[in-house]
Amino acid sequence: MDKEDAFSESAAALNKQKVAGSVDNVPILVAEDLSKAFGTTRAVRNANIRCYAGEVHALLGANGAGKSTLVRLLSGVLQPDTGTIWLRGTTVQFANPQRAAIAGLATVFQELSLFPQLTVAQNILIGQEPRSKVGWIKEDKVLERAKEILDQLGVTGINPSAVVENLSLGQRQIVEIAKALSREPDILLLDEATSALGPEESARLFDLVRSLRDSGKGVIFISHRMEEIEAIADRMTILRDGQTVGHLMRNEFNRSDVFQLMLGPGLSSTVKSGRESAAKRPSRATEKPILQIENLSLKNRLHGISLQVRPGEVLGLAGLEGQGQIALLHLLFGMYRKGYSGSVNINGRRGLSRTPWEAVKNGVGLIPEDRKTQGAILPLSVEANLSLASLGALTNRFGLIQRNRERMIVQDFISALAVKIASPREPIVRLSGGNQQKVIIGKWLARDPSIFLFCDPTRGVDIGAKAGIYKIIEQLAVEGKGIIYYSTELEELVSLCDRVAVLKDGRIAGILEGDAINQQRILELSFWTHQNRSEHREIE
Amino acid sequence: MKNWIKNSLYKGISFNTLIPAIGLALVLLIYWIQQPLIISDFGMVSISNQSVALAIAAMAQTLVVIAGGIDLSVGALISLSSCFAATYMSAAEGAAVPILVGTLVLGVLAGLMNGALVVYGRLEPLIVTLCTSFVLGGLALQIRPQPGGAVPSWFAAMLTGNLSFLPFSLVLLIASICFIWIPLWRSRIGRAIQAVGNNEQNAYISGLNPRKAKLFAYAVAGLLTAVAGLFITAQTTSGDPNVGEVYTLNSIAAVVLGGVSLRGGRGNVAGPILSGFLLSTIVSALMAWGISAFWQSLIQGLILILVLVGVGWQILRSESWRQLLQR
Repeated sequence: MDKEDAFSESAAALNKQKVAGSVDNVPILVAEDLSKAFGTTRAVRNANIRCYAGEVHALLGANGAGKSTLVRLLSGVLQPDTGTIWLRGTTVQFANPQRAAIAGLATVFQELSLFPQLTVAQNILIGQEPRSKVGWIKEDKVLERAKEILDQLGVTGINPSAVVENLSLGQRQIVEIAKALSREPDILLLDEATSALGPEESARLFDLVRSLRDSGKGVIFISHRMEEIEAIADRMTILRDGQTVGHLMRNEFNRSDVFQLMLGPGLSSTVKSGRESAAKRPSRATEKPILQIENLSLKNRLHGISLQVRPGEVLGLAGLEGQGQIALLHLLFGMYRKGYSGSVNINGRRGLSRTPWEAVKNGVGLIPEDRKTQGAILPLSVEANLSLASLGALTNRFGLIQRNRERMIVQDFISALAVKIASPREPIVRLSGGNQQKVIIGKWLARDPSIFLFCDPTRGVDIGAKAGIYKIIEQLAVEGKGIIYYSTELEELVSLCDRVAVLKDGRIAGILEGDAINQQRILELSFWTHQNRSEHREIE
Repeated sequence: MKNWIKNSLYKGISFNTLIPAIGLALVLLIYWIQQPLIISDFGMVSISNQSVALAIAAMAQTLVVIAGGIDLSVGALISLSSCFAATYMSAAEGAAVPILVGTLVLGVLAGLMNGALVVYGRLEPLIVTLCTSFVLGGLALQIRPQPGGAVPSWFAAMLTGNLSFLPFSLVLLIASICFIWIPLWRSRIGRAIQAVGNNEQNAYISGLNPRKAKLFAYAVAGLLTAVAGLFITAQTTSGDPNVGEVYTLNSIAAVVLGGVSLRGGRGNVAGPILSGFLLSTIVSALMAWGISAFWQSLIQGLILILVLVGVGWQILRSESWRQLLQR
């Protein structure tokens, strides 16, 4: 068969390719040379994956490796720029997820796709409800069918006529899976399906996945929990920078090999590369912390976080995305009014700010994760954006903004930050991402807080602007500011930070300090398992 | 079969429906104290005739709001239907029935125009229906610059008459529910409208067609609006290019009072229908008590605020800017 040949050719071209799957077994799903670009970013490049009947296939990769893009390509949410997908030997191109589901490929998406106002049964069978001759939905049949599906899954304790908004997150996840299975797919994609589940619910889901596998279906399983993958996967495909970098069989699983593949060559654990800039900084270990967090918890998001930042210190926040890093920064910036416990000491003042404006008054500045919706006021001028946080100091006694002082200050910061613009009156929306980010940082520089919270500031920013942002951070450290720097890029964390705290499931998986900071260590901690905390936790 | 009756009855008596139901009962009680004559066939007819147009317009608005939009052209379409019907029905012998059907078709077309602009033009429903309200209102003025026209007497009697205690206007309302609302609501498309109004992206990922659902919602809303327009024509036995104006905002008020979320996806039609009756009856009740007409809209406004703040505060507060940011 043509596609078999084509696949083995491209597979042979892969570095360290391990031919997987038994010979007599026919793959249900083959995807080959898939590529997808967003603008100039190539999220997925020539990725390959094949999933056989009766296997659980794990898909692994670090942040930004292209896992979710690949899932979207396979499930029909996105269409690949190039490449081919075969389902049971036939080339397929899915215009939308429904087509994929009808063809036998169902996806459980990371974000729940349920309608909270409808019942469990109505959700499971949405769009395929049994109907009477005049086209009316037969609610009793819907209920019956939903009950059947839930029974098949061995689910008890979910009432099919319950309204979904009254269910727990874990129960909703199960309903989501039931919805995906209602079309009796041959292959099921589970994108982070366990992220919302407790241990018991996870265990039940695994039983379910195993029984699907035993009944001859294929399951593609994406999880950020290494122990889950080890427990359930028969095979895994590893992605790095949008490319497939390895296929491993179950008996070849080995954590350090897997991490090596995820990081790529040339970054073994012994290399102390890229620590120059942080290493140059004088030690601040003796100084009194400017920010002290003790046993801080936030309902469902953070558990027992203890951290401290000294003046002139850059504390990195690392871990896989969505492990509580952003919640922690938001909490420190006063964006939660309730639901937290623990003690925080900012600038010698006890207690958390309860609103962002209070946080600003207490000397905290936040560079948020989404430049366009949270950082900048897009239609306003660069000038107005830059002075936004310090208008109080720029107003005269009648409460009017002193335009000439504003202009002077803005001019100073624009030249100091090397922002490339035609005029300060230009709307910020016309600037490149990197220059926008510089203006947003400039907004806080103008306000001059003592603690800077950076939320992935270099995401989607060009290399030149990145270097500029690193320089600003260096300068802030020299000036003795306290800095918390959350980033999804390991390299950045290694080169910039004095210490790196790795978060996992809202807990600190470990704090690395000085020469102990390297990419492999951070990645290992990112996949840390909570149960054996004592083994992994180390504070050097 | 029995199951779904029980089911829809149960759903009908939800908390949101309870508010207008209690309100209506209270208003009727107050009305009755001052004017015991309302418990008579004449009283029934007058209450029903006053309220049915708003109740049906509220049904139309409910549909669009549940689909995640809003319809500011309800009033203009009522005016246009009224002018169209009153002008052409009496034009020729035997024209009445074709024009009646024509008015309904006109309503569907106007609704489709709204829907197409929202769906294919990717415009905000608020803007689209504001614009089309000018277009439809302008057409009404073209057909009939001044109030006038006529309808066959049988037509007026058919919609506004009564059989002892049963007003025919109430029959029209029930027919609209049974033959327009329920068939839509019990079909897959009705379910899709609820889904799209709640979350368009999820609807898409669940394999529903969001465009079709929205188009249907606007088209059927247009049909219902035309029914309301026809009823008003029968009631006034003439066409008036301004007769519909008040129905735009009143229908939105009825929808809100009836517990339908303006963010889409949630609500049922019983609440807005009852609210339509409530809002219309308040006026008569106040008049019976000799309270000046100048107080009426003020009192209506206060009632709305009271209901929204007192009862809807949870719904309204459930998604503050803070939570939006943290999502």
